[in-house]
Amino acid sequence: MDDRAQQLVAGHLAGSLTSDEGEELVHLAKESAEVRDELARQATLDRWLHLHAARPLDAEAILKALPRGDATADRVIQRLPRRSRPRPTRRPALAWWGAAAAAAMVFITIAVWSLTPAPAGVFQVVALTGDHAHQHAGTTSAIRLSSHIAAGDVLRLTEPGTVRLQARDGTTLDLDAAASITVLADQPERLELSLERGRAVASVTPRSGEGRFTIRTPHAVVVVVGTRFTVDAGPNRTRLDVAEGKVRFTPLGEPTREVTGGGSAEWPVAAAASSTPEKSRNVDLVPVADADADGAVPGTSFGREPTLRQVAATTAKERVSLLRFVVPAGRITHAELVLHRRGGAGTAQVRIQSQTGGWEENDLRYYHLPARGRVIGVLKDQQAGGAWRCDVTSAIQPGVVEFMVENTAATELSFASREDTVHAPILRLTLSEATSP
Amino acid sequence: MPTMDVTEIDAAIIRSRSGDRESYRQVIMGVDAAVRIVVAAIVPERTLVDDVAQEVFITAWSKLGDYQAGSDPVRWFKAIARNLALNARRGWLRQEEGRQAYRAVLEQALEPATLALAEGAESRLLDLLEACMKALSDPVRAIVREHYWDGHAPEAIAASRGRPPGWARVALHRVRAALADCLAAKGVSRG
Repeated sequence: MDDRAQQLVAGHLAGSLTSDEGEELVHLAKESAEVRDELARQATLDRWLHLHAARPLDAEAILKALPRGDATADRVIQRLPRRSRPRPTRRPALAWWGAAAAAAMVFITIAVWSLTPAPAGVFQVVALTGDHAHQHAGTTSAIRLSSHIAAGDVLRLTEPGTVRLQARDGTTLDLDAAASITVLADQPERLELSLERGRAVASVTPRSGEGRFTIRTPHAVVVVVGTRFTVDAGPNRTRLDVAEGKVRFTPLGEPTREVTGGGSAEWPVAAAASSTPEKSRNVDLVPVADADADGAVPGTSFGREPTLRQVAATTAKERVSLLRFVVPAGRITHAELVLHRRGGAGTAQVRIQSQTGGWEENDLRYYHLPARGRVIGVLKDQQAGGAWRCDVTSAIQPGVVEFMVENTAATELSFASREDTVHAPILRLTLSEATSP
Repeated sequence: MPTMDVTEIDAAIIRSRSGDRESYRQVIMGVDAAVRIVVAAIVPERTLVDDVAQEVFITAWSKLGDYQAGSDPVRWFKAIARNLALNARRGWLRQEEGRQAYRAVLEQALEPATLALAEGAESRLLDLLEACMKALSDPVRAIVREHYWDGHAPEAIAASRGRPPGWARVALHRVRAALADCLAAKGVSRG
């Protein structure tokens, strides 16, 4: 671009061109792509420089200018499928349930409201009685009306209070009986809860596509397909009664079965349990979440990586892995953490986390890494095939259990994460089954 | 400037859907820069930037139900910003045409190159621009600051240095070219 063109461009941006000079610049711009590109570049940069020097937008003024009357909320509600919500039914407590403190009862009533797909989302507290604890990002506070409950959050109720949660897609969850839940996932394709104890009455909006609503109890995994059913879970067994449609029921360590309308299922089967003396079985649990946190890039999330990687212990900035499992109730005689090595050598130590639920798989970052728990063992290469094991029996208890894995070797070490469906980490439990119902 | 990652913005949008204005304030603070970068690249007058950006946030508020949770919230806001900025640009062109000013004809000729620059505008552009500014010599950076931060006209900047009136215009032109090259070297589209 020649000097004259540059003078005209500079004068244009300074607002000092005469009408004739302006016409001259128009002529040059129409004739030359180079002039057009340079002028566009200069003009855009001029505005970006002004922007760079400007103050942030006045958010307060924008908020004042927003339509009143929660117009947004109204529109969202209008987008939800129209339906009537049946009253959830509850089953009476059964006499065979054991000690009340350890009892967990789940009553789930699934109502088919509509076949219209609806997005999933975080829960919001829409009703509550009593005082209860809400653990979020490692801090605990009281559950409040309108609080939002996100993935990783833990709610612990005290009797005799109740809490009603509502998800964006209309799904409601009524908690009572000193319920304790952890929200494991709140994505559109996966809404998943762990109910460690207490009672939950759920009315679940049918999920679209591959989307599923899952509740993990101490004994089984209940996956909503779109129907109405009731699940009762006690300390020793889980019973499923299906009113209509079908439900996927997966006892831990057993194959999935579908139970259709009018049918029922029970696990462990009472008759088998009563006729069989002490019997052990292995249950392999895969993590419900795992992720790395890297001190070298403290703002980066690695939750979707297929590898859990720990840099060498001699590295200035550490990188550690966290794994979360939901452990069923029952008599656990042995537990070991099994990770499949992808690379590196040496050893890694395993910590049991005393505070759980303070992180999300897709949002774990080093700068809010949870406090470290106590060391409970060392991962070692104990057999060919790259399976590294650590005995964690002493640390296992029913409910959400989290481990932190740290490299203690001078070389980098990496293991398959749960995203690797073939070599995902495993928590292998040996359960001793009860001999009487 | 407050910084939020996309997952935090996504969560704040979800909370905003139920009418939570405090969460929407967080959304505004989280995507303010990204929105204004796009708007500033498209509208011909810098005085329009804040007005259009405010319109973006008011429009987005009424469309929060359309936002797909878990998707890229910055991208979603930038798409709204692009549409509203284009509308503002066309409105400005209509007004300028009525005044028979050369600027309307010029802006029409520049539109393809301008939109290409808008497409390549990254949310971190202002950070990159700051880094490029630091690479300038002190005297040159002082000229930029006096013009863009302190609002001094090129003629005043030249006079304060005993230079002819056109000197600062040319100096600013060269600085902008240097900064544009610096941004291009950092991966920002040249258009």
